[in-house]
Amino acid sequence: MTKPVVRKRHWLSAIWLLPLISALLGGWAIYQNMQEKGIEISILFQDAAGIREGKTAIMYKGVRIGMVKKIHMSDDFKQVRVIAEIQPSSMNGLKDSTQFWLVKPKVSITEITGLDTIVSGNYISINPGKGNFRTEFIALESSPALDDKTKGLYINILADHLGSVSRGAKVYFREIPVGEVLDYELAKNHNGVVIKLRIEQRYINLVKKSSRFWNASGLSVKANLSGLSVHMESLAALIVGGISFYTPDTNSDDYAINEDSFKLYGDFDSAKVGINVNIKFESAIGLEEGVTEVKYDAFKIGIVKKISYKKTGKSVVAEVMFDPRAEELLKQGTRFWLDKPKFSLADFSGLSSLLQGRHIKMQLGEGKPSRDFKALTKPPLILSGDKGVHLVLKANSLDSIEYGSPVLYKKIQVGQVHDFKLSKKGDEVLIYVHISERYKHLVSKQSRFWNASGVRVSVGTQGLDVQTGTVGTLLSGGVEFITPKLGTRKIKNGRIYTLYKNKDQATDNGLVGYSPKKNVKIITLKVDELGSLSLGSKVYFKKLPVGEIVHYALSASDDSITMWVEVEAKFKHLVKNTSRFWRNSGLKVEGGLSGVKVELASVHALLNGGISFTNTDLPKTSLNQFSKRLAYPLYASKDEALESFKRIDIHFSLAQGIQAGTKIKYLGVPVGEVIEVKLASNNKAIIASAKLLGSAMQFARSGTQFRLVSAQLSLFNTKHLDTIVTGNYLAIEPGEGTSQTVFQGHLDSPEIKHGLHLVLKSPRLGSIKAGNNIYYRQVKVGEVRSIALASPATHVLMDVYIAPRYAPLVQANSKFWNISGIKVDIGLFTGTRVQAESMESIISGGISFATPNTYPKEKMRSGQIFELANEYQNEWLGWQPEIELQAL
Amino acid sequence: MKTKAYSALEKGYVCCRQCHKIAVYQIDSDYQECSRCQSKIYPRIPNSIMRSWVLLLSGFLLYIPANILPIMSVNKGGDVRIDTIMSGIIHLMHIDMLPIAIIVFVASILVPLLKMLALAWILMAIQLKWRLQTHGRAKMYHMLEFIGRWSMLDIFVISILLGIVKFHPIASVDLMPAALLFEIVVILTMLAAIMLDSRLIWQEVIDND
Repeated sequence: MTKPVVRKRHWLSAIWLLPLISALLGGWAIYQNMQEKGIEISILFQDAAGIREGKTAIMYKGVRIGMVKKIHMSDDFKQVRVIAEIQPSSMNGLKDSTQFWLVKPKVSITEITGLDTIVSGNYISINPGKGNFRTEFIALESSPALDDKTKGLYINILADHLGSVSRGAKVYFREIPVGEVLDYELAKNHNGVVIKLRIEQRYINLVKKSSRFWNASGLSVKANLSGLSVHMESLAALIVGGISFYTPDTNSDDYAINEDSFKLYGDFDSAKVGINVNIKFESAIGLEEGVTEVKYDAFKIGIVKKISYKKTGKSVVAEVMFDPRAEELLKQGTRFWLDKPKFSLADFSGLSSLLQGRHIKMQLGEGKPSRDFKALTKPPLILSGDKGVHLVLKANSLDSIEYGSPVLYKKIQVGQVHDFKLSKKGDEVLIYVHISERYKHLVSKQSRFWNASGVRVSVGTQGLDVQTGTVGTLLSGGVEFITPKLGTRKIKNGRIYTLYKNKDQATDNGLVGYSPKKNVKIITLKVDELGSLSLGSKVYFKKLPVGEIVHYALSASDDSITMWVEVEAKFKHLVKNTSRFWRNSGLKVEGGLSGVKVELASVHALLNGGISFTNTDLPKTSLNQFSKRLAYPLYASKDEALESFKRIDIHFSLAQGIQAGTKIKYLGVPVGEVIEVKLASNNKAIIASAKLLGSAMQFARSGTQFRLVSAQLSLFNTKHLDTIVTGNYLAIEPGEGTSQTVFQGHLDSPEIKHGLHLVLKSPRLGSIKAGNNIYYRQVKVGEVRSIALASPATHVLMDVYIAPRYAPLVQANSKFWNISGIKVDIGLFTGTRVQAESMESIISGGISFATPNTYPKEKMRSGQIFELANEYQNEWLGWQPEIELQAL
Repeated sequence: MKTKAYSALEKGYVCCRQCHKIAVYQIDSDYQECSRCQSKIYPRIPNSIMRSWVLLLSGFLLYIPANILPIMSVNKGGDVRIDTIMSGIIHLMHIDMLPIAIIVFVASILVPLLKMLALAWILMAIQLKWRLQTHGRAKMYHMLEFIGRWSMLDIFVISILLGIVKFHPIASVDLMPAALLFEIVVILTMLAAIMLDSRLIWQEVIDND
């Protein structure tokens, strides 16, 4: 048997390493901790507001490198000494020129800085410096502004005064911030201010030696009637100020370098460079220094800088500064004039100046370059080179004709009014007209001119491009002419014509210049009065224009007017012996609560009036013999023309609410109207004469009832509210008897209320008023009708009405209580509880009632007396009796 | 009538510490394996007392820096607090949270300290064969087991705080070196308690009976 091998194990040596490691680890941790204890420095602050012991950190580039340990007053008690601990790793930053300052949140229009401090608290920022190591520092009062480590262009601006430029204000180029104001100081000789700017590196190419800087601070407003000039760089600049600059377009690459100096101009305008031009105006009206612009086409190319009077006093000279690019436009032949807004529809030419203020317009000319011009008094009319023919029109008044009004021939503009003046005697107006060269053959000796007021040149909607009657006076006019026979002789310049007031006059009601077209049918109409009809008024068949009035004249035999209507050849067959003509009313509006129905013959007819006709089965109307043609009578309205109505008389005992124009409705549709209301022959009734239109004529039979419907406003029966707006009307209940034209009308009496009348008794009235509602489960079921003192006056009695449907809810043991006002419970533990039945009851008061679950099931009789409780008991709210409501 | 009690070892049996299988002790063999779970079988853990001492000592050495150094930093809205265990407890007392201060004190200072002291006492008692305290030793050992399970409480609290309070820069909790040291202390004392073969505690009771 072998002896076991006994091996000695050296547990001791191995395991005892563990405490050694532990000791080392612990020691190392403590050593590390000791190492982290930083260097104490002291910083002198003027004010330690916002610095807290153990809380305020010292940060550098967002990293915490230290912490304020203690704060105490300096020895002289004027400053605060802040003792801070800086991490040893940051020791290298503590040098002679190291700067410390307190960072607080700053929210300004240009920047938001230190926002992190809102969350993390203020901190002390450090800007490491150079020099020898030190531990005593004096804090800056604010963050150092001159951060000259950043790349960029550093330039100086010389200004007379600082204005509202502040540190950190932005420098704008085309309103984009490209730099900022670093600092400012008085110039060395104290005669100005030097503002130091830094332009960001990527923008430095924008600044050239020729750049112009101006103060963009604030808002400059130049306002007056002739225009408004508002100049603002940006909202930020408005508040904190700013400097703008621009660099004129030059090809030189003369870039600015660091420390270059520039002059600061007061504003945008004075910083500008340009070509100075003098323009002589007759008056300065409409010209404004620094506001009035010169526009070429739509481009603003200059601005009036200065206005000065000539010594003679007869004209003013506007000094205009032009954009350098306008150089080529300024030739001798160039013409300028002041663009004034015109309120005429014939000419929108100056409308832009209405919106943009008055401005000077220009028309290019040829010639040598010039710097002195004389402005025109009005826009140039004719392009040079168009000879044409000049005519003079005599008129009694100018009416709406003005410079530039068109001269039309068959609605085509062939010329223009270019001047007008009074005749020497002063009794006539002479209007100078120019007809273009290519149209001058249209004028002959026989030409007749008239004032085509309301002709609009624009070829637009059909309705607006025509000669108009009444609406036309609103529209600005022009001159139109007609030439019955084109002459071969050339018309001389300066020939005088009469300007007629309108086409009718000019053409002798259509005779002059009228030549019937082939195949047209001429019919005559007999009219009592002209009304809105005039030459050119259209004749419609089913709203389709088929002809027009070509002539009219007073009848020789009677006082009627005879009209000639020309019906186009292809519509000839439509006019028959049975045709009936009526005036177009143009616009017919039927309005009601249910909407508005607009019926329009056509826009043309609306403006011009017109005649419609249709063929009927009605008997022929008597045709008068006139000028060997048949004359049709012209009816006033379609209804009359078609005899599509029936007159009836309705007898009423009272005329209240019935008047001429009162509608008659069947199922809400108007089917007729009252024409007149008159007394019956026995003076005891009134007779409303009415007409029933169209298919409603069949209602004129015995048995038909007419009932006056008027608004009823009551608690449970608000009806016919529309009649408040549209007026009362007569409702038809059709009968089925024989034809009849005299009826007895009914004035509806108000419905009788079959509800329940109760009396509530209360010691005090509270805020109950007549008209207050009665609620059951917050549903309105009735109202307080009246209130009276009992006699003897021990309590108040209220007459209460419950609607019939809800009458069964009131039982002998019902409880009534006052729910007026608000009930507010304020409890220590429950908080505040506000109770109110409804908004209405808060304001106007009310009464509520409840009926117990067991109730006598008796029908209440009116006049029953109940007590009115001041407050409900909670039990009452829990009642839920099952009560059948009365069937409606 | 008193019957003599025998220990299993005296009868030649050993118990597997893992699966508690009884095996015949092969006294000659240097190395015996459990036939069921293949773990080593010793009659007693070799060098149990010595190992336990070493671990305990290592733990104690680290316990000192763990208490001196800051254990965590609490950043509340930029307001940074760096606390050692004790300063944290005092802070809790100042802000009127005495119950929590007591819990932290018990869990972080008292429990580890008591645990180490108790273990040291038991080890001394075994080594120096303090006869009279055999009954007390058992009691002490039970106490050790009872409080031992709470020794991770402090670390648990910190790790929870660390996990849930992460709202940079509004609020955050960060670990400081003492936390690591403290953790090592807890682990070392746990190992020390495991390394102590509890059978040694009452060995002498049997021997003396």
